[in-house]
Amino acid sequence: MAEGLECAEARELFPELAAGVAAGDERARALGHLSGCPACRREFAATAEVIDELLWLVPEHDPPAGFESSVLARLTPAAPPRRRRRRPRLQWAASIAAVAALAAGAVWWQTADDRELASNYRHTLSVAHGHDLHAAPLLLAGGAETGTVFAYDGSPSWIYVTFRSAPPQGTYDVRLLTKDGRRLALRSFTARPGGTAWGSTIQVPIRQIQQLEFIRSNVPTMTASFG
Amino acid sequence: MNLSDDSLLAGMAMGDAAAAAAFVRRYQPRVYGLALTIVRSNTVAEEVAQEAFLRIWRSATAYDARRGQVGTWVLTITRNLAIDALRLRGNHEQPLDPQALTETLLSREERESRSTHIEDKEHLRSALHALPPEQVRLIVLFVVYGLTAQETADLEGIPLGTAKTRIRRGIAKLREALEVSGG
Repeated sequence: MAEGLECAEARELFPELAAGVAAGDERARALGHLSGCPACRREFAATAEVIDELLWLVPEHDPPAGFESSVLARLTPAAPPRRRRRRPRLQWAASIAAVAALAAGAVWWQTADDRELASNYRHTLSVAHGHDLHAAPLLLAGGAETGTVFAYDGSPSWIYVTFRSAPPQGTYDVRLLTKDGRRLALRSFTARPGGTAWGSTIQVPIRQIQQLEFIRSNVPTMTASFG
Repeated sequence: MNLSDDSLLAGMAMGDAAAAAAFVRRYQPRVYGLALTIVRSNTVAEEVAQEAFLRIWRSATAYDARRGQVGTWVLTITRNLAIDALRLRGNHEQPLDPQALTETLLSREERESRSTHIEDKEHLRSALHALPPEQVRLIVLFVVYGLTAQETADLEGIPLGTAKTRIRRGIAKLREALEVSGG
């Protein structure tokens, strides 16, 4: 039998699971099966795609006048932009999480099979090389890629690094070299077991970045060039 | 400058007001349209659509680009909020009208859609058209109104097993149509 009973049972649940209306116990059973069955994951993805696409058939409709300003007033309550900058910790947390989606892609490249890797790589590139987000590989001294650097041009601008595996433990000085020859010290990075990311806000436009360096014992051990 | 959805979402996550405005402007007809279709009340649809953008804004930091289209994620959030609103109201004001919604889905949009996969939509619409009407109704109740298979069965007065089979077979046919259109 090409397909076990468990697969057949799980597939019965896919429409409700994909539509988000499966009961809790059924959802748990189906997800449990999906976690260990690549064939069913493909089957489920195809079902979910149909359900997602159906929502696009619902026609657009202009909202009443004033809708946009009402929404924006709720999204960006009273505080003017300058006051928002007084909350770097909060914004920075948002920055980290914002790029986590991209970072997840970078980590995923390691474990995906070839076809998934190609697809995901293309998608991440299309996201990362947009107008305001840029990516560059982080290389070890020998040239091997050890992570990805994401840089965001915004207010504030920031730079975020995901490592493919935790770098050797210790404290690294982090330095940004600009195209006009400046060397800017960023906050240091303390590598710990399991720590696979680092980030900092920056005070220069992304287009001004020449290189990012992680320096240990006065030697650049990991670098990323923005060209 | 026409930024990608992902870039605008990243900007929103950063608290960038300009990115938020561009995102809302881009999606408001789609979000409001879906909300209005489900709740059938201008006032409630406006509340749902506002709440949807608020939810999107709050969740922007957690959005996983691997999930696929931002637009699909946006529509799913909107649909879920609209269904919640519908259930909260107890659906007393206006009963569900799957027939009207079916006709809406089967009609071509008069306005030019922002969707980048118009051909796919037309393939899907044609495939939906080709299904038996009772099967389309079940799928509409299930996908758009978010009814469970049991609820659709009760509403249509058919056994649960029959409802499940019709939904599953209908979705399988639609999937074939999408696969054909996608090459």
